[in-house]
Amino acid sequence: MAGTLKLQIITPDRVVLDQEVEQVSACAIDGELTILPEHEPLTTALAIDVVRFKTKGYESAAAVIGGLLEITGDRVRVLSDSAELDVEIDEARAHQAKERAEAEKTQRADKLDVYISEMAIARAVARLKAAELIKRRKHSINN
Amino acid sequence: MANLKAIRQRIKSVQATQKITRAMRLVAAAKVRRAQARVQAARPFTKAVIEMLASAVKEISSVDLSGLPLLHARPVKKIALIVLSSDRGLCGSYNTTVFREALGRIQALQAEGKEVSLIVVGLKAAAFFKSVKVEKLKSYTLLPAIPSVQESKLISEHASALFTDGVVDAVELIGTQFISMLRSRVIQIPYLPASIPNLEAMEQEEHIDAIASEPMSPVRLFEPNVYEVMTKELIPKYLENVIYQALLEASAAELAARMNAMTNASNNARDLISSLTLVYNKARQTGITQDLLEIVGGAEALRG
Repeated sequence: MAGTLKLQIITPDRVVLDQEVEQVSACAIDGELTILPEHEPLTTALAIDVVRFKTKGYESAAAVIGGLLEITGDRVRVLSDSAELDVEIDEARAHQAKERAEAEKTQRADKLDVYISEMAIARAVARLKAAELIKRRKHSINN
Repeated sequence: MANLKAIRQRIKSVQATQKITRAMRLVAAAKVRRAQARVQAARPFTKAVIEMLASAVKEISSVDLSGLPLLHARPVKKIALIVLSSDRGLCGSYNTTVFREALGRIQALQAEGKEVSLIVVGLKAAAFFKSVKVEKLKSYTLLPAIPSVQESKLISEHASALFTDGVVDAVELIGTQFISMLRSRVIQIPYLPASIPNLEAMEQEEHIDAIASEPMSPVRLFEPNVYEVMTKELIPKYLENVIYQALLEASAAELAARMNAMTNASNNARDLISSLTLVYNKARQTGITQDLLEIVGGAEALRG
């Protein structure tokens, strides 16, 4: 494997991650993509999902709530309104948020409200997915 | 001694006020430090958004920009001003300077024959502009003390909608820029149509890395396509971020202004207490002298 990528995840509040990684996988709005070093320059919109990245063969994830991904040379930049690393996610809170949003969705008739609830569900699901990934990883190490 | 008692009471009440102003000063001082940290924390994002926008703009030459309504300038007949103020008072001249500047701008624009409307942020601005005969498009009050991306999104989406629907032809932002604890400055920035950030000027000011523009570098790909990325993500993000940054700066400036106002108030209270104490002591001394004179006079009279 040749070289590494510099992955930066930036939100308006803070720099969530700034690290050398070997591989990045992300979900763009039109499909999943995996980025290895020397990828060609690309800018794409991200879905509300998980960005996974590998450091020294060790995979971590971050929940990214929409945003943009930009590849320039050996730098991958993710700009998002909100992003959390897997270790930072409060799983219980995400669960509650998901249930609440699902309950709300059934009660709402207005299209916009349903959309808002769906977005809330998507956010919660992304967080849960990231949390799930870290658990599975721990599990596989234990075995 | 009714007079003495009255002075004593006044000293007490001033002391009570001083306690409050001191506490408020401490609170503001702690908050302003955090607000400053937030302004700092927001910088990397701003930098990245501007760099990405600039590189995207570079990619599609200026001929193609006509497909992006938010960047498209048109003759200005109606203009909206976004005025950023605070929800709470007790922050010295913070709000008044913003209002003075805004009024000046409104008059200047009206003199040019343009229709002016307002989007006000903060209770103070909402109250102040009630008496001004200008159309208010929207007011945002009682925003959370810590500005968040959500509010910036609301405001920027509203402004963008007004602009694209043709309700207004331009939007300007008037807010306060935080320079230091003691200094802040009212700024006016043209908001819409969005000006493509001038990277060269930015480089000198903010040390933004120049984008490598090797002639051999492969053409940047945009997924799904460049317009989609620009209109749905990049430009809204950029506009949001301008507001977010302005809100952060304004909140830092407000807290700094409050801290200074409270420092002044505490100092005034201290001066007042010391001069009142002097008056009190003098009155007390006069009272004692008076008493002594009366006793001595009485004794003299008895002896005589």
